[in-house]
Amino acid sequence: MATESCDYQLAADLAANCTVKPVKGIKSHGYIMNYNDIDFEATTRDATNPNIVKALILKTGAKAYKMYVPGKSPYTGTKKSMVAGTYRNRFNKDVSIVILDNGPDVSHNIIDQLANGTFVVVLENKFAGADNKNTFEIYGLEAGLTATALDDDKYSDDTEGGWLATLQEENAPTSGIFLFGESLSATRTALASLVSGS
Amino acid sequence: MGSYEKTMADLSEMKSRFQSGFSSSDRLLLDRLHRLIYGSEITNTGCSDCYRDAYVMIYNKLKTDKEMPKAPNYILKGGALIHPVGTSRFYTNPLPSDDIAEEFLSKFPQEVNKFAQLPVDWEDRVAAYKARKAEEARAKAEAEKKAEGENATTVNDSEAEELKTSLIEAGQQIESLRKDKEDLSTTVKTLIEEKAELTQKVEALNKLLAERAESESAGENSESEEVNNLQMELATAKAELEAAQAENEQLKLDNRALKAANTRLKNNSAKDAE
Repeated sequence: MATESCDYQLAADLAANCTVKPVKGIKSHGYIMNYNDIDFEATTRDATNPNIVKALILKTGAKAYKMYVPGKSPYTGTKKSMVAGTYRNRFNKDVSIVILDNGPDVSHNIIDQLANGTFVVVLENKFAGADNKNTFEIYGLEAGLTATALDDDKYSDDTEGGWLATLQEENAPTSGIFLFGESLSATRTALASLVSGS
Repeated sequence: MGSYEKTMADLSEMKSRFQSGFSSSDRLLLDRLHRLIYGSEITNTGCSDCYRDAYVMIYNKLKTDKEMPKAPNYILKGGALIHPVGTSRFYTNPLPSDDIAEEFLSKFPQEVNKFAQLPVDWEDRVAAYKARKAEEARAKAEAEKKAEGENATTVNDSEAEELKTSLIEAGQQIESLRKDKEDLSTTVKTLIEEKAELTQKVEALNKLLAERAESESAGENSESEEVNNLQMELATAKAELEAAQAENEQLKLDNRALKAANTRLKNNSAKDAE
């Protein structure tokens, strides 16, 4: 076993972006896929910044699924928080998804699977950043997202009788993982092909 | 997936349910056909119109092609795309041709794990693709070389054409120059004649001038003789004057001597008288 020591040193100024002003929130469209469908061998990361995934590849025959949550603040409750550890600190990443639908198909194809499966979600931030690399953020790529709450409140004004799913990736070592290929359009094309599958 | 005839028969049979709504098995078939033909899912499957639109698209496409689409040899995994170096194009499923995949694999063979399906002999195909491309490059280079030669010939032809045009223009210029020359010759002749006339006139004038000059010079000679004569006369007059003055002086002296003699005579006579 290597006796390498981790060197946690800052590498940039803690400054505000005055050129492209940040915008809070997430856009309505997202993608969800099974954690086990990810082809980690084919998935590639940026050589200089491992927090950037250049190609998120699915296994043969697997496909991703689209998500759509309408409204001004879709995926409300989605957040990342540091969790203090005994030796090293990690991050919990929560993703809240409202499914404005219900019925046997929803229960069978979505809710039952969400309840027990492990997932990876890609959401589109409203703030793309100066170089667009902040556009798509991946949740669950390291430890996988699992459901911590699945609520079907029949009288909920928010979910309109649909489902509110809360998924959490626990103790992820990385604070944020972003999906960015060679360009934003290439990334969008790649995401579309995730849905098409193989 | 069935044969073309079977598929078209199924689609024709589905036509009766086009307005009332497709059954779940119809939708499943349309999903499969759409995926096979267009490489993607039917968008917005929640609405019935989406399947009607997909039905029309699929039916027309198959009717036009008159064959089932060929199964591609190379299929990418979900999320994988091919970006040919030096272009702004990206390819996902369905790949437009095997060449795209084989070119990609010829450059990045380590990324074969991006493919969900490959021919068993993909390495041989990639090698063949490389050889084919090398041959094409060589043929292209030769063609370019040949084209350069043809271009040179074409250039020569165009140069000859330009020269012909220049020649015609030069002939026209020569013709106009000839006319100019003739005009100039006529002008020169006229000028020569005028010159001869003028020369004659000049000669006549010169003669007149010479004669006048001679006459003037002759006039000047006679005047000088007169002057000489006058000068001689003047000199004579001066000599005569001088002689007269000398004579006058002599006379004055004589007169004084006479007066003195007269005085003496008077004195002598007085003395005598006394």
